[in-house]
Amino acid sequence: MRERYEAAIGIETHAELNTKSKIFCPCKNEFGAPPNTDCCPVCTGMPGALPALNAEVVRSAIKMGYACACTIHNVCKQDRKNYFYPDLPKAYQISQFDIPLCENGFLDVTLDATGRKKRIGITRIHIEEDAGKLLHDSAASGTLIDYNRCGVPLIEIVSEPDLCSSAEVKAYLDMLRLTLLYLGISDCRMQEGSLRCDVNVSVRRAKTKTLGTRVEMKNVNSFSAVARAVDYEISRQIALLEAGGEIRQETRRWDDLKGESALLRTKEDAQDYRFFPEPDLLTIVIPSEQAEALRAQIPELPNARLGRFMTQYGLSYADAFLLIENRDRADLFEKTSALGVPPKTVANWLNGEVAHLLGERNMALAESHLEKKEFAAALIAIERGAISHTAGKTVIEALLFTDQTTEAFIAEKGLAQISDTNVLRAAAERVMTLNKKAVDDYRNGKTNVLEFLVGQCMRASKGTGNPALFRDILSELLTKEK
Amino acid sequence: MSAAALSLAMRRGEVSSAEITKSVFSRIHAVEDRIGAYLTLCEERAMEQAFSIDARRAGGEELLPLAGIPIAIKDNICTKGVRTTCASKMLAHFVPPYDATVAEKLFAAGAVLIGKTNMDEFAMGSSCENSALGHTGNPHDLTRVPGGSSGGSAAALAAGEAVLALGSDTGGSVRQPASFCGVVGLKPTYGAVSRYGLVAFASSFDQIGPLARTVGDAAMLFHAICGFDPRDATSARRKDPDGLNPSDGDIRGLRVGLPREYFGAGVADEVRAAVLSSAEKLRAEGAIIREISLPSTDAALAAYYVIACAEASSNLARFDGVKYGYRAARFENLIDLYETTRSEGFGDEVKRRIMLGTMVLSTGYADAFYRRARRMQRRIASEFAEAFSACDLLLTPTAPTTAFHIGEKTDDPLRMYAADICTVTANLAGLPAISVPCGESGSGMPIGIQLIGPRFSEQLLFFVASYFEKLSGGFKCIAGGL
Amino acid sequence: MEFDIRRIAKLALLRLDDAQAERFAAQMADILEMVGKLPEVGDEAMDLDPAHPMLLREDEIFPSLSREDILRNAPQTEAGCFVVPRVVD
Repeated sequence: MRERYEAAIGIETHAELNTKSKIFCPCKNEFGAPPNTDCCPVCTGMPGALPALNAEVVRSAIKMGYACACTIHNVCKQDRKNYFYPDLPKAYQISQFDIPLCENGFLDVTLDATGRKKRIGITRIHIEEDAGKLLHDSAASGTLIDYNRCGVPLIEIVSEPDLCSSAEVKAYLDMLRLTLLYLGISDCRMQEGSLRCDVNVSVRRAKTKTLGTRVEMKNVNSFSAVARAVDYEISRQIALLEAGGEIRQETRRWDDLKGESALLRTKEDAQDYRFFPEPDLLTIVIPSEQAEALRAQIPELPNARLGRFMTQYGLSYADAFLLIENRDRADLFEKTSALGVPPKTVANWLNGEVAHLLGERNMALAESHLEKKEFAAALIAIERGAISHTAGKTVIEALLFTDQTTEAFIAEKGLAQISDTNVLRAAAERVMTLNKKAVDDYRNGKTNVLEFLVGQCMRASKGTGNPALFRDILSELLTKEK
Repeated sequence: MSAAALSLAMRRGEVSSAEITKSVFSRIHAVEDRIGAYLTLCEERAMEQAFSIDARRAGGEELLPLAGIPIAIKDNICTKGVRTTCASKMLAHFVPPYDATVAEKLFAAGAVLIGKTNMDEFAMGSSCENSALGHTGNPHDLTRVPGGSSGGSAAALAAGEAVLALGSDTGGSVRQPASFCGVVGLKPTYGAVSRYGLVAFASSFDQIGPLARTVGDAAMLFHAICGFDPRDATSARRKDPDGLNPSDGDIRGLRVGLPREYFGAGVADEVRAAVLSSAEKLRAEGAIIREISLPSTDAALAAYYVIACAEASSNLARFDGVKYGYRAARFENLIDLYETTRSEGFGDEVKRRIMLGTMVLSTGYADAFYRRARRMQRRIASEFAEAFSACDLLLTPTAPTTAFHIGEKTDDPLRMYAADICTVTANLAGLPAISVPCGESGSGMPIGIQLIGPRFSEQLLFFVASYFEKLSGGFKCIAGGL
Repeated sequence: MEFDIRRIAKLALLRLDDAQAERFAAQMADILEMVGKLPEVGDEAMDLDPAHPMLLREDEIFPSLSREDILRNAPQTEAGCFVVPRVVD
């Protein structure tokens, strides 16, 4: 049934910008402060207060515009969007209506491991202010309002309805989030509310051109919830159409716990926002030299980097994606590979052990001591067999969390892997002497005892023995005698 | 005595600020019962400020001209720690936690705050009869209105209850009461004075303006409050106005335009005669007087009301009983809280204008009303610009009549609005305009003449206005027995 | 021009009783008649004025008001917050 239909999905994403101060006042832009402690007459809508636009907000938005290949409107304005709600102290939001800062761009997204790409249209990106937060505490005498978040700068990124499935939606949101992180303009923490999405879904008969009636969904609070909501809504709409019903243009509320959406507002209930140009602000003008200077600041963007890692370094999509997901990690990967370490090796260690060790301490790569020369030295030592893989893990840990150099650490801890077969043979013989039962077991057919004996040799050598060589030597010794 | 004279006397040690302030308050105690100019009096704080200024001066400190001068401030300008009500039930107990920029400047200069003056509620009105909290009479004839909306400030000056006063002008609210009360009132160029802290009525038109008994005093007060404010994005970045000193300059060769549309049938004969006779006196001194036409004038009233009410409907939406101000005593849910609070807290005129403004912005009407009014505004502004290529300034009556009787116009809002025709055009075009007394009616009521100049021509206006002041003999003290 | 006084009152969150609604509607009709005579001047409504660009504020923090100051005029507060009747989000 599903094959008879196609879905068209558009996403409106709101990203909080990580400027120091709010968009229209110099209050601190921070998450988690005690309620109403980062507020002033402007962001609480007191009588007589006026907005003063933060230049950094405009700069950040323009960078995102360039990253999405948008046309930048060098001359634009802001508009008032009028409606009543307790989280909106002025009873209007200062946003942009008909002349957004950025328009008509796209975001290239890699859909899967084959490297298949899709270009998702970006209709517009505009700047606006965030509202406060309503706190629902059943013990309180009503709904409580905290205005700390009022006036936090937002960019709203609206996509064309070019997405066709929840998988594509996920890929798009991942890439959008990474792009914001690469630009350094938002910290993109959905759990803190710095990234929010509304989803628009419509379905139509397969291979037809006219889009179906679209339904908006709100309250989608994580990327995985977006995928669930999209799947549900597509199914709901198809089922409705198959049953002879009609899709109405409406807004629905997603309930992730129940896994279903419910009607929030019909089109007729829709607000009349009475947009008009904000009279307390003048025209925004960004001279083209300034805009060009901002464009020059944009780093290589995540999707391009992903593609390049796959082609230039021969990495798999999975490995490449894990690397580019974290800009510092991707940077270190390239610098280390440039020092002669095989890229696959660097990728494995960064995505594996390094990520694991950092994760345990909740530390970012940038906060660690790991740097390219020592890292390269350690990886080369492991590749060459100068130290064992196990010893290598210890070295990496030291490089991450202390100031030690690779060479000094190996020497200090005596980690140099012994590959001198004479030394190893002597150690193996000692171990065999001490573990007569195991030796007998092996000779009686329990060949898996070999690993135990290898382990004992490694213990005896305090991890410095070459385990592969131990295995060969033990095999030889065990089969040789008697 | 004028502020300029008092300032000089204080500097010479002939009188102290405490003495001046005490004398003002004596006057207030004697006549305020009948005048009703003030909503809040700050006698204790004023005396403290006065003593402090005297002490600093005695200590040898160089003080600014306004130091120690008692000043009245219209009650829609925020004063930290001092009740600011906008003459509305909605803000009857509102105490701002911050000072408006103009208040900050005045207090930093050492001015002494007498109190906050009565006005039409939220500055909406032309008579002071729309105040929900007080009643003000015209000191020249207590059965007549002082004008509005800055009626309290004008009356206080006329009655000797203040030395200087601040008002606000959106459609004539400084100039018309000035003309009704026989004092001087200036509406500065839009952007010349910061609006930060002025409770907004119509953001595109509002300006805080000085009222005084002499032109020199008005100029002194204007210079103390004008200037760019980074907290008001619409304030102008200009050096202090340069050019003519009020006492220098030459009337000879001055090109004065008389726009015929301001002298039509709606203007009382006495008023027309007084204004034209003043023009003749200028001609006798060598000015070139010519009749001009501003054809879009008759559309100005409509354009003004559409735009002003539209912006007001949005600016007043913040009054909802949640963050500050009046809250209904009984409500069942959120919408009930909002509706009841706003219905009980606002007076009829305010509601009428909010309704009108909401309508002209709403879907289906915005094009025919709001956007059309904006286009008309641009047309009016360009007509003025053209007029100023042939004239240095324009001369008109300030109001079509002298002060009318209390209750005379309250039943017919449209009639009340029609009286604003001489003043709204300067607000629409953002031009500076001053009203200065030029004579009296047969019943002894003051008549005001209005001078309108190009943007930032306040110095020229002060110069020509002071000429009229000399002609008419200056401020006429109202007999002590009021 | 036709207008629905009840719908406007709802948008503005003003409650009018029948007498008020009737009076307001009549007064507004008069005003709208005056306003309706606005001629169409046909020039493009230029909302943009690039000749007078806005000076933007640099991204700096300035100390906020204290919470006491923010809440001082509030009709009702609890746990450092403003309070409204319960709202479903």
